[in-house]
Amino acid sequence: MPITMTLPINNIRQRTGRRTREYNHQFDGNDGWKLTNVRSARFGLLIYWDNALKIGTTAAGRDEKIELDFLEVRAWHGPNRQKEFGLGSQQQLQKIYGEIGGDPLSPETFNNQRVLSAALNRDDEVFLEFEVNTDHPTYCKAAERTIAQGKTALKIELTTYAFDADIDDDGKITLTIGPGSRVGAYEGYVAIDFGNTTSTLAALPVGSRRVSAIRILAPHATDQAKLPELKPQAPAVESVLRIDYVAKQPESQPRVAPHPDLVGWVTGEWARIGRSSNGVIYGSKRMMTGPGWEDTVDVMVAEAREPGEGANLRRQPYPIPGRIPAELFLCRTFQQFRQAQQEYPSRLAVTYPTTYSAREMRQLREVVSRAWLRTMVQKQDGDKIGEAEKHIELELDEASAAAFFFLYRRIFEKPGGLPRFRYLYPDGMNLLLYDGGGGTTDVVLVRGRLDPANPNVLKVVVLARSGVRDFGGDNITIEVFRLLKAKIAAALAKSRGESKALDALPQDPTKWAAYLDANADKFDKWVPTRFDADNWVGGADQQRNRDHTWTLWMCAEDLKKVLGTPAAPGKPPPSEAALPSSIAGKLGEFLTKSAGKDGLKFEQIKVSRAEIDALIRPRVLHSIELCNRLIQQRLWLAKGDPQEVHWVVAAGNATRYPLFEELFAKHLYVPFFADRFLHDTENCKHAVAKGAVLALGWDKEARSVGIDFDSNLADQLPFTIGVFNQQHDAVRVLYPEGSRYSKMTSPLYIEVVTGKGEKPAEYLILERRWPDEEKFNKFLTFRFKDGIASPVKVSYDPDTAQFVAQDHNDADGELVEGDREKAYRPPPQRGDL
Amino acid sequence: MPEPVETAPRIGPKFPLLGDAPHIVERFERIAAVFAKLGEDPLLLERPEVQKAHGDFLRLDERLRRPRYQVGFLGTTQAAKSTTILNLLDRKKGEGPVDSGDGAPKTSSITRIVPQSEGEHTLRIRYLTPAQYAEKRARLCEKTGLDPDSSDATVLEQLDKQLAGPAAGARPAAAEVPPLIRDLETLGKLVRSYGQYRAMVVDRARVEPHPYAKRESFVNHPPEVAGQRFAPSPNHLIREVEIGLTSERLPQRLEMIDLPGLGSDGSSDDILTKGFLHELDGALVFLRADQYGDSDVEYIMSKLIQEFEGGRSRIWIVVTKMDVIERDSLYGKAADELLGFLRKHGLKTDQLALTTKRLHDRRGPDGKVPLSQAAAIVQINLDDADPVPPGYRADPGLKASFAELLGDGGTARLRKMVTEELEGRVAADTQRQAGEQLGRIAERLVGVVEFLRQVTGGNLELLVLAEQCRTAVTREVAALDQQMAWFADSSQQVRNELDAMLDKCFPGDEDNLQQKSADLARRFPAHAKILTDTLAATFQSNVVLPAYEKVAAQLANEAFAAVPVGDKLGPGKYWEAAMAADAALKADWRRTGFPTFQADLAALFAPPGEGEEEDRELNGGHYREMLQEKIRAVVGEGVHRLRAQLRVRLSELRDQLNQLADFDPQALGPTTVDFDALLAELRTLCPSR
Repeated sequence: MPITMTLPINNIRQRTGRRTREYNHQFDGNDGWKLTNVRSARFGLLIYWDNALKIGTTAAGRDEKIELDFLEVRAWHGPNRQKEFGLGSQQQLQKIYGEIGGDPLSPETFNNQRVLSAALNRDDEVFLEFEVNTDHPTYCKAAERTIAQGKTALKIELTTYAFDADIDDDGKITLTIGPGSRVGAYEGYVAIDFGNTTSTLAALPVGSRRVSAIRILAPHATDQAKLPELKPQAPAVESVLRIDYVAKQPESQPRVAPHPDLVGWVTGEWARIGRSSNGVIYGSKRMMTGPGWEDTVDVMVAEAREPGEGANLRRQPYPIPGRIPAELFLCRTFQQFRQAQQEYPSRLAVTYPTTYSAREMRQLREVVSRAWLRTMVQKQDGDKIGEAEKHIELELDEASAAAFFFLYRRIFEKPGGLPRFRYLYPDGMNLLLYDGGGGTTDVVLVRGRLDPANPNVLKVVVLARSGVRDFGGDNITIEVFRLLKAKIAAALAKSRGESKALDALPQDPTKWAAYLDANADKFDKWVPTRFDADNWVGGADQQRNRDHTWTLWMCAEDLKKVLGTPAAPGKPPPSEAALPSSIAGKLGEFLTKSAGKDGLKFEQIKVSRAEIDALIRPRVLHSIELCNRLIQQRLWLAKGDPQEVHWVVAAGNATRYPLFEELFAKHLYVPFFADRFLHDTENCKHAVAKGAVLALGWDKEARSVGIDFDSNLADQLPFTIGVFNQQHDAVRVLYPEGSRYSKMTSPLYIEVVTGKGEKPAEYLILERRWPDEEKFNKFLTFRFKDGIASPVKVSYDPDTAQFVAQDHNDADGELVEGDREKAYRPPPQRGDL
Repeated sequence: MPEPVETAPRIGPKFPLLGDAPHIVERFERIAAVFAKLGEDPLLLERPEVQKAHGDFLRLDERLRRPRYQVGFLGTTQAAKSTTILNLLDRKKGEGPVDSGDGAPKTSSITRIVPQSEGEHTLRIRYLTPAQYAEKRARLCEKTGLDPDSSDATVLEQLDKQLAGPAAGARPAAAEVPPLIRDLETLGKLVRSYGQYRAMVVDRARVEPHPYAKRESFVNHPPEVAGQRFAPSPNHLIREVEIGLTSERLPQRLEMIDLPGLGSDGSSDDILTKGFLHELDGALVFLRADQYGDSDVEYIMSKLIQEFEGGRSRIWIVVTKMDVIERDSLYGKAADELLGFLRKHGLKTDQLALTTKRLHDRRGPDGKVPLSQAAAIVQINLDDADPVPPGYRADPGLKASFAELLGDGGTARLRKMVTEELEGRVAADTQRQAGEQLGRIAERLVGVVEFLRQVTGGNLELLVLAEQCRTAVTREVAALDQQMAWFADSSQQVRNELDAMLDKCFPGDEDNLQQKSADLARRFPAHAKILTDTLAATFQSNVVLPAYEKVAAQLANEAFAAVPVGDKLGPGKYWEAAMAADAALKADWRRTGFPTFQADLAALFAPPGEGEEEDRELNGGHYREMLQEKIRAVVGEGVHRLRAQLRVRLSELRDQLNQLADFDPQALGPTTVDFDALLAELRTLCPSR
């Protein structure tokens, strides 16, 4: 018998990624990998198969065929896959016939065939690898048809042809790919913490109580052949995506079709590592939560057939609605979960920032639902979105989620459990959570205590929240970037003997920030990194500067990480870090040409911790000041018994930078700091998702102990709203921070005084003050084109999740568009560095 | 409309409530004489620092002149307060001075029940004063989102718009009216009534007598008028309904004040009740048996304790609707929860009555309820020798209350409380508080008068010293707040000693580490006692005294000794007195809320619950680790309490110094007041003398 074998490719389900199976064979073994006629020690072997597969018959009686684009077959021979089989090109085949001899098959044999070919030894081991792209629409079609026909697997036949100079052997390999069904729902719980900089998906199996049972979706390797994995510990996924192609839609359709196969995109590190920033989108979360989330932004994408292919094609600006990047990012996250687990996520917990408004929450909910529908290849009409929203079984603010995670470990995973906690902290435990994210810093005070009315219920109450909305880990990178730029500029000037063109760095570190500001224009002449963020079709300089920014930003990120690395045992922590020499190539010709005749040694340019510390210290101290203000106002001066902070937890990647902990220890109003501080680097970023998935599991499974989250922050106003009262020369507070949106639907009246003989005022301005601000700033402007008939009625409309104003004549105030927040751009895409 | 009457002139002793405390009356009179002397020079009496002391004195004077103690009946709307009062007075529904709550809308007013020894019951209506009206209007405007500065016309117009919808008469049933709507209606009625009956609202509150039988017509809303949304009525301008009740069940020196229940649909009741708490001399707090954690109850308790300056003996708890407790809970955690509530607020079990109307209504001719009926209603087991559930037996006071609950629904216990215990305890503690307040006024005056003596004598350098002294104190306050290491070394010593004690009484040897939960539960009480005692001793010597001494050292500037603070010369002396008071183990701040190692044994060593994992159970190793963490928690909490107390003391000192440092010598002319004589007199009135 010649080669005759069936190779099962089992456990293959639709849309679970590229699944690979490997087989290895030795000739004349017991598995059907035999040659009957060919006896030579060395011979040729061809494996070929029809690229079209019949999957049925049309109504007209014709064969219905599909392309086998979803199947890749690779083969090697020799020890340790020493040599790979070649393809079936004429040249390759001639080479093999040349060596082995024999009669070549007629070229017609290979019409519409895919071929692998090799000359090999009889004692060579042959390795066969079959890769099925289960996301490929053709595979999904074939699988559906197979199931409809009542078959258990899709059959594909490959022909083998072995030959030597004298004789040949025809054989057959039958692949059975099954079952081809769609995946089922994951019975456990899945939480998604979609962050500005990084994101986490955490999964918890049903019936699990331990933190150790939680699995994290690991960042997907840039090697496409590897499947995503759920691991006990993994880094967070970078919240960045690169859109490579969009299948253009007719004018009447949405600009980006909701089908997953009509857009090509990659996420995480894979999206970032390209040399160019084209199509790369950071900050998709902020784009999604702005009031103008349906407004389009131009993204450089191509028309292409496959993800990845687009990176090499010519890109052009293409308008994409602001909510789409977030949807794509989340969709890919869900897809990767499905690939890793072979089940789709069904019971979801979604976390949201502590400062989210009801509108932002609503938008997040819809985007998650749309992403889920895209993952499931379902339409995104109104009813479907509503149905998909039902999969979100828990919405929890990030503060409560993270606090719950840390409290959970401290309470429930210690022997003695809740009674032990009650004994140690009879009046509850106050936890200060400092979450240093990429772009923002959130601070919350949370109290975990036992409900006096029910001692078996742990209440998690957010006492207060604050934070800095424009300070996070990115600001550290910005300072590293600015310093690098200044130092490269200085080095370039020096190499050309023009040192005097730039002012020297002042001795006093407190003056460095001002120095960098004052000399920014000069530095940019030497190291041009500024560009017009909205101009994608500008000249070469624009693109060059974008690329410079991109390269320097990546370097700055790396140097920040080096400087934030904890000290190794017995060694001091790193105090300085140098640019890699490889940057020369990446920074391009411009800088290399700008250098003097001796060139520029980039690796000699260093930044030190002391320098970075000096630049960011005031902002870290400001954030600590806000913490102290919360502690004083909400704990020390609270009604009843003054309280204190029992536990400080630093979370978020920014806090990995050591200055944070150093300044906390020195300035935070928390006694016994060393005892009360936790910087859990392993869970720095995952605590939110882990807390949410535990809370969802806890909520859904009967326990003898209950958890009560007494916050619902999405229903609470994150800032104070007021209106300036000229009579009292002060702002009249309309809605204090923490007001419930659900209780703001009743109107408030504002008297607008018009002087005698004066024209009635046309604009009513509402002001707001965030917890980190001293003063009120403009928030919303309502225009009454016929002039205001006092009083004006202001209220919150829950249907549109917007504030509305109506004057005495029932005229509606028109919201002035200029007040809308601009679409968020991450620092390296702003063009102002 | 009846003519208003003047309030009857007071006869009898000037301070009826101090009848059995002549020493306080005497101190009162002597301090009044000092103010009279200071008043000889009007400029002196107008000095802000003198005014502050004088203001406190006048408020005390007004309070002590009352003919009766004012005891508030407080609770939430669901606490069955009115029903219990009717039971107390042995009245049926409709016969009592207060309504038992049939759901009909009530005006927000206070009902005073004033005992009379004889004669017919009487009824007097007291209206709002202009200030009270303005306050009520402003608060309601705030609650409803209206600008309090708007005119009445604007307010009414806006209310009309907000309430546009069903006309009067078509409004939903009372229980369904949302809170905001209720507030809007209350405000509308208030404003419109004021517009029409403005004459009722006068500076000296208008008081009208009416027949007792008409009392219902004043506490209920008048009927709605078809087509008129805010029908005006004088009733909406009533602040108090005073009922003269002839009853042998009431002590003559007690005035029972029934305050609207908190947590009702509208805000006006809350506003009224919360605003009245400072007027009370004592309180009965009514709470439903399942309401211990209620935020309104917690508010009432903390506010009362604050107003009574720690005088917890003037608060009684009346637990109502005991029949709502489930049997499992009655034989489970209910008693612990009640004890926890009492302990949390520093009350004892003899300040408690457990009641239920359902048993009260089933009393037989002998005034008792057959035990079998009681068992059916309160869900107790009768197969035990003692019908009181075990949890309630653990404490004698709790056991007695429960037994009385079973006897007649708790009415006898409540009556005894009101008729026999209330007056005596309120009197004693009110007098205690009055004595302490007089002492504080005298102390403050000593400082002020000494300061005035020196400054009027030309010693302006004192102002500079006072400023420096204030700066030093402010610095100390800031250091206390901002320097977290302030107590680091001293508290570490306490930790070390506690750790050493733990090593002694429960060493980390293999035998101990393997011990099981049941053994640990037996040993825990002894460990807790030893550690608590060690804490008390070491904390005092290692942390408390050094902390006070550390501040004392900062204030020990010799020059400061000339600055009079209270009745002491110099902040150093003042601080010494504070230290002497606070360093005592039985000082107030140590008695309430100071951490201990004690715990509810049953809860701490409870076996894992259903669904909990077995490995949650404590073994010896876990137990040791828990006590080590408890040591850190207890020392931390102790330091926190001490820091708070130091902050209070330093703030008091700074307040005193503020008065001196901000003194404007030019505002005072030459004076003939004999400061030396006043000082001599005042010093004899200070508590330390």
